[in-house]
Amino acid sequence: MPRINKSIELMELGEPAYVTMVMNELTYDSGREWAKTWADIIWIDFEYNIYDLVGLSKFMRGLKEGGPTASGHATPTVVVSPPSHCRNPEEVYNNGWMIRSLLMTGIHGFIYPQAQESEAVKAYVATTRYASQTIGRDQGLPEGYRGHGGEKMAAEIWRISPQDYVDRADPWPLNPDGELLLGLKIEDQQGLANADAIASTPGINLAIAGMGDMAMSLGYQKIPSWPFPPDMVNAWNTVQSACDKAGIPLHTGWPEPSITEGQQHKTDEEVMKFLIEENSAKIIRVSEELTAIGRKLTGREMPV
Amino acid sequence: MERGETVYVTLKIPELSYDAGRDQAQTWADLIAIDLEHLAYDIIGLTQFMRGLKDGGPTASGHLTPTVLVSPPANCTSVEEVIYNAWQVRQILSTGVHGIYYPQARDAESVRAYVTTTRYTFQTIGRDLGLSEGLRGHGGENQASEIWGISPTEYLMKADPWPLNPEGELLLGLKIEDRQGIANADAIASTPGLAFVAVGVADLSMSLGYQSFPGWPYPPDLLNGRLAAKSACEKAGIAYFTGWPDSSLPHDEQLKHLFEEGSDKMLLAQNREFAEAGRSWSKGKEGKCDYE
Repeated sequence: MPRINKSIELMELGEPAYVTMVMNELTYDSGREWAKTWADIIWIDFEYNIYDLVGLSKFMRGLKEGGPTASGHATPTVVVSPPSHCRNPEEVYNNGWMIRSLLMTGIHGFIYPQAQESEAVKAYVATTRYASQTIGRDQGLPEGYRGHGGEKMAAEIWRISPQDYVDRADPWPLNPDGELLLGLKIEDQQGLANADAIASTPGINLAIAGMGDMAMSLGYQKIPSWPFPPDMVNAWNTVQSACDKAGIPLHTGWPEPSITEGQQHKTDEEVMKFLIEENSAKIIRVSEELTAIGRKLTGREMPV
Repeated sequence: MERGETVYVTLKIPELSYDAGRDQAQTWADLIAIDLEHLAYDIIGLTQFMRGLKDGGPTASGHLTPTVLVSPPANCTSVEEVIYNAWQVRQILSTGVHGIYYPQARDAESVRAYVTTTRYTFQTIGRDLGLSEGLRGHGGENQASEIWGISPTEYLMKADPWPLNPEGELLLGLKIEDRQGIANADAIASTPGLAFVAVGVADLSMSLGYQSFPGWPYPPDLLNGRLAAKSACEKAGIAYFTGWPDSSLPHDEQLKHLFEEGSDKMLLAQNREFAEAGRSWSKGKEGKCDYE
């Protein structure tokens, strides 16, 4: 069965997936324009943009009708940050409707802001799953919170039947047939203290160290300019270590916060070599130009 | 409902816009249920829809608009979920809709919380029956009262659940759609303020562990769930909102099954023909559907 989620297919192939953020208005026409994006993953941030479900529904329809991608997927992978945070189970459950509403538009996953503890992350995973899914329930995951009703619209975007959608809209790689990519941001001291438990929550397969909010949580009124002070570098390394232990990717860009001043002025090729070969980065957000270099470096065969 | 007549409900709303509202103003249905659980939570669209509905009215029955109920995207699984999402109910009611159809009710405490989110703080009927103080306040009544064609002060008095408040104009209902809700069906249905309960069999089947919906005829556990919800409504003396599970049958056969099982207060109608067949039956045995 061909993969719906392009970024998961890339990760299964051992290839990095490249991310870009949609900053423009969410409309049908903008969806059509983004259908041929150079990126593998489109990230839409509702934490700091208007929570526009109507616009997102139209954008997803445009994305599908402007597709498929050259790689043969109905759309690029789309992940969304909900406006709510992941600080405790109550916040996550009581805003569970946002996750349900967002998934109905046919997106492929999330980057949940501000994860502070693993119980909240387990609640997050539960809000993305159908009640009948059982994988991982023996690892402490609560029963899924999705029910019937929204699968038709989402299944149309995925170009599969509603029943196939119900079967496959589950987190990968927890569910090997799953098509949802669940990510989160660790971006404060509380999250940092629980980074290992957060990153190893079953169902999670992507973490981001949110360095802007992290700086604020560490007491900086202004984000320190690069190269970062030691506490910021430590924070990054803590998240990186948690991801390594859990075997999940850490979203990265350039300059990567942990690098030293001497490492900054590399050529574009050296930058991508550093990220891919030395850091084993799997989810990378860099410019279109650097992305092209990265793909060449890994001998990427899947068309964009 | 006061006359003992069947209310026919449509769930099929093409989109939320002013024009769609005008189109629906002369609908064959008595009640339009709008599902924001499974559509984008589009308060702007709902506001425009209600304005269009009013401008396209009144209905042939003389009402400014058909009855409109809305399902919020939040579920009714816990008191906390309902209270923290009370803002959705306030916003929805401010558009001038006539009631709420809350998804996934699990226990009576959550349902009592739901009822309070729809009521103004000064309303007292039912406070001695375990209902907490209302959670609505001033601010949204101007817009809603325009849709209702009454003064804002009248709106404050009338925007209260019927039949708990005999003068109330809000119709409050909910869906029981998981095994927790079925276990508490009697307590849920008897919550003061409710006018109807439905059972969401598709979600219930998922909660019972079915990865795909078993369809009709239902397996015993699903059938029992439907019967438990129906029985809870009968005990509580409220409407059981349902359609006939086998929608492949001809309309008159579906209606026959429904009326025979006593489901005659609030029916899901697939289309105009279904509603007309039912209304015709209700007029008496001389109607075109004679089931005797």
